[in-house]
Amino acid sequence: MKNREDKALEAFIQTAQESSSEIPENVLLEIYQIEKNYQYSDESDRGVAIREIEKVLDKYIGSL
Amino acid sequence: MMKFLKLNLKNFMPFYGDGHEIKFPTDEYKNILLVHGYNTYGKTSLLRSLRWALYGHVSDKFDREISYLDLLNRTSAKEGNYKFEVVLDFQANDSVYKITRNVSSKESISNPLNNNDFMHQSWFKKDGTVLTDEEAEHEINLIAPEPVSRFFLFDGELLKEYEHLLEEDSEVGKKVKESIEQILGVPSLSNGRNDTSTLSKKYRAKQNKELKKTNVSDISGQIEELDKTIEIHEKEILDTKALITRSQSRIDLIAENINNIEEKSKIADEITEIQGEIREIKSSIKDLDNKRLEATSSAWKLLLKPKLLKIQKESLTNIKNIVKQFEKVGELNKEISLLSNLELHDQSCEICNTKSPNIDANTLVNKKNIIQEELNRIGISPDYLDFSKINSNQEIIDSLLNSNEERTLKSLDDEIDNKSVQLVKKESDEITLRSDLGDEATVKEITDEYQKMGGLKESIVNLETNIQTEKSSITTCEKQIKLLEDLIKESEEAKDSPTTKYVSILSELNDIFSNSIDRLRDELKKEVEQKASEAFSKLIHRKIYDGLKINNNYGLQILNQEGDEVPMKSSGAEQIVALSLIDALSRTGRDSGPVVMDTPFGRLDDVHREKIVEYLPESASQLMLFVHKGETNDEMLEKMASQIGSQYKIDLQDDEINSLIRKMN
Repeated sequence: MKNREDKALEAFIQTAQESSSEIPENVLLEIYQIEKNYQYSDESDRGVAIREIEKVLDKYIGSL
Repeated sequence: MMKFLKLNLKNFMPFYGDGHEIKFPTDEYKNILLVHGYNTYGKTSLLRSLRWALYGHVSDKFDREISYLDLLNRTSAKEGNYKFEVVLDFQANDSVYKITRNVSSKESISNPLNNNDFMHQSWFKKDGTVLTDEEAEHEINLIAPEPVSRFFLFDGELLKEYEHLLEEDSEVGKKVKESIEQILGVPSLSNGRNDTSTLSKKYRAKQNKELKKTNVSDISGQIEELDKTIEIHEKEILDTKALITRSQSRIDLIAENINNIEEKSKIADEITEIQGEIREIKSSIKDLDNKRLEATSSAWKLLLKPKLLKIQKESLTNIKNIVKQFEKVGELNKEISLLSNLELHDQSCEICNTKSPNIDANTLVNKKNIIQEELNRIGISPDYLDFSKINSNQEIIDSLLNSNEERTLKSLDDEIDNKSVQLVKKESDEITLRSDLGDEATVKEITDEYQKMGGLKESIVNLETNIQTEKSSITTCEKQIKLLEDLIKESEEAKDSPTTKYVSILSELNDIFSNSIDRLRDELKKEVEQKASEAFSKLIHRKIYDGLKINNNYGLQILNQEGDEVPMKSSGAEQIVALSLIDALSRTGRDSGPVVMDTPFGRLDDVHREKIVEYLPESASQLMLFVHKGETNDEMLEKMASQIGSQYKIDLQDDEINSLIRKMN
């Protein structure tokens, strides 16, 4: 059986496209992947995911 | 794709000692593992061992965590060995994993009583390398996250929970819905929304500091104030949620208490019933005792029995003798009478009057004398009165001997014995029930508890309304912040600042995450509805249904061919709908993986069991079925044969208490 399609990712990217976001898709994908990896972390333990998102943003904003 | 490889248990629940091993089938086409076992032999414990290996804790059917003492094998505990262990080997994403968990009593504790008296150790190896606890948790969250484990490690008896999805305000339904959204990936987006919101606040605060002495400091100040207001609302929401959790815990406790009280009430009823029975038995025994007393008053007859038998024998002999004498005397008298007749009629025959030339008068006299001598020799002339007296005595003796005192006493004694045994049993039942009962429960107590529960439920509804109000206040603040942010973004002082870029991008990300949640939910519902309908059409025997319709809670209703909802009356149909939903969620929300089902066919008939067995192996990497005898039959097993990778049986050990796992050929 093949792996499922990532419906959450599809919804995320489509919403970004409809909102005419200027954030590049690769940045969106990286951020989404972080959230996907840490989707089952406790609410009280979001620090790791948040730090990783910041790193992606640092890199992106630094490149602007 | 995850696949279980091997499971080893030592002193875990009913599996006493070590050597309890299951090797899972890894063949793509022979991917069914069957574990046979009677109820109470340990099928659910096996499921729990998998859950415990993966997550380090396991709950009972009331969602209460099972203590180490209850996970430990009882025989082992009695022997003073307080160590149990589970080792699980599995593969996923081209890596091999080994989880070893063991629990043992702390060195200083000789008789552990609660979890604090135990030490829990675990090793999580990935391709031979031991991971840290955090790494291990992260790996498990990626491969087999606990929040969605109910969809692949499930207890067939809990399928009923899915029916609560059809009720709007059901607490169980809410929990199931939350799990469903977790398997469908909604947390990726909802956490994204929350994380970007947290980061936005951080960068807005930074921006506010940077803009303190600029023209837009007022706007920045307003944003700061709004952020503070949001924080207050968020705190309020957190506090309210904590209150709801506490109220819910109290409701759970009250529900348990009501359950206990109702149980006690049943016990009290049973005791009353038993007391009635005891009274009846005692009264019967009293009646029987009286009858026995009465019977004993004529039991002297029994003492005379040997003597009476002797007398009876003698009396019978006497009677026989007298009868014989009567007969002899009768015969002799008859002869004398004949001879006398011959004399009287000149030796002619009395009847034909013919003369008898051979008999002379002397001969006749001699004969008469001889007979008379014989009569004299007999000596007594039978006295009818004597005979009558003897006969009457005989009747008395017979009546005494034939009386039923003996039988009556015997049957009364038997009956009294039986009743006494019944009495002892009932009294012992009463004692047992009384010890179970403790303090007697009252109807008032139950009513009070229900009232408390009702009050708490009402307060939860109010608290949830408060949360909605707080959330709308936050949304209003956020909208205002957005407008103010746009103003700042356009300002000369802020537009080129990196912090403004962070704020702007995070705000955009937050919008994307927020808006994509509703989109995802709508799409998922459509997809789950479609896949569940497909599964349902393959699983249901009767082809009169059009499919399933999903509601906002992911509850499913059967539709007939006219598209109308069909009320679910059969528990079997409900189970098929629940299985269709689980299959749809599994196919929509996670990569193919193992599915373990404990007692999966409980409410289904043979036709539907076979349909499920035909269908499910296609949608899982491995299908583990823990079944009791009543759930399978030879025909079904024959049909499955080509897909069965291995079969095990849970048997009792020689002590008839503990279980063991046996591989079947």
